[in-house]
Amino acid sequence: MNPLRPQPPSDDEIDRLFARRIQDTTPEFERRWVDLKRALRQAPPRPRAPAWSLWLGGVTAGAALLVALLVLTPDRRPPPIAEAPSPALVELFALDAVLIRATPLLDAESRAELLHLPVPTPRQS
Amino acid sequence: MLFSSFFNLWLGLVWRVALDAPVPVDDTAAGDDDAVAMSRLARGDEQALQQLFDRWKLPLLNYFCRSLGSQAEAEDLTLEVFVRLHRAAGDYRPTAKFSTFLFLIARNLLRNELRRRRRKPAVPTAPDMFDTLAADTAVEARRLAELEEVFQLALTRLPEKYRTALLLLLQQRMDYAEAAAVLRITENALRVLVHRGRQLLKTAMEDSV
Repeated sequence: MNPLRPQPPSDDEIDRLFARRIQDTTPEFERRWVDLKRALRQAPPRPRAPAWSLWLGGVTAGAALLVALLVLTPDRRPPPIAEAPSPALVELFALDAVLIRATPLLDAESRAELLHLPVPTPRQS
Repeated sequence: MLFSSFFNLWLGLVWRVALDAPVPVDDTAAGDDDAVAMSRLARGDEQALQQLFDRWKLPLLNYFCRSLGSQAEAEDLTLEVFVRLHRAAGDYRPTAKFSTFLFLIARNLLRNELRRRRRKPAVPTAPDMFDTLAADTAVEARRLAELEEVFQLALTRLPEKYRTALLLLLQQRMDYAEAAAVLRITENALRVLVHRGRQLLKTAMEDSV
């Protein structure tokens, strides 16, 4: 070891250097603190929010988001495909158009009148 | 499917918010003067802020000074901590020691400052702003005075996580649990950081001596 080279620092020396502290603040720092305190007095701290308001806020926000999702989510079901109705279906529609007029007569006491409605003759195949 | 997963997520969020809801501080039972002062500050008591300032200004200045090596910047950040404290008083929950909360704020500010500093280097601290080291002999005193400059330089160059770990334990005299909470690591991880940090610091100082 080179005798001219200074000794490396020991753990104890490092601990003592860490323990060194600033003993007091500067007058400039204290003056800045007074100014800052005055400025902070103009803006008082935000009051603590009560627990129930957090609940209410959470529930409202969640419900609003849910509604927004329901409204804005596009319907992913495929649109119905338009097909040419079969002849049997056309006949059924015609029958339905006649029978629709009998809707008010479907009460039990009106069955007799229902029996006298003109019904188209079934198509001869 | 989408709605049920969203509903579960939202329910979990509401539950967490409810669990984290602020707990009112009982002035008589808190046992932590600083927590009580924060509660008073939230109610608009300006004396409470002065009380916190008087108590914590020097620990914060020491922490910032050693971390940054600049007294001017240390003073700026110390004042900024009290601005943040004032702003956060309404939301403060005494779930941990006040010093943990305070040094979490301080560390966040320090890291922001270090990010800013990468673009703009700072002026190093004059070593004589710290108190005189107690030494048994004149030779020892001279030796420590010489080491001070090397120490500050090596400390400033140490990665932030090692430096903060060493400062919280050796300068601020926090216990391991408290320092680990500030650093958001486990106590075992902190022990590793401190061991490696000390080694890095010694090596850097040996190279400079």
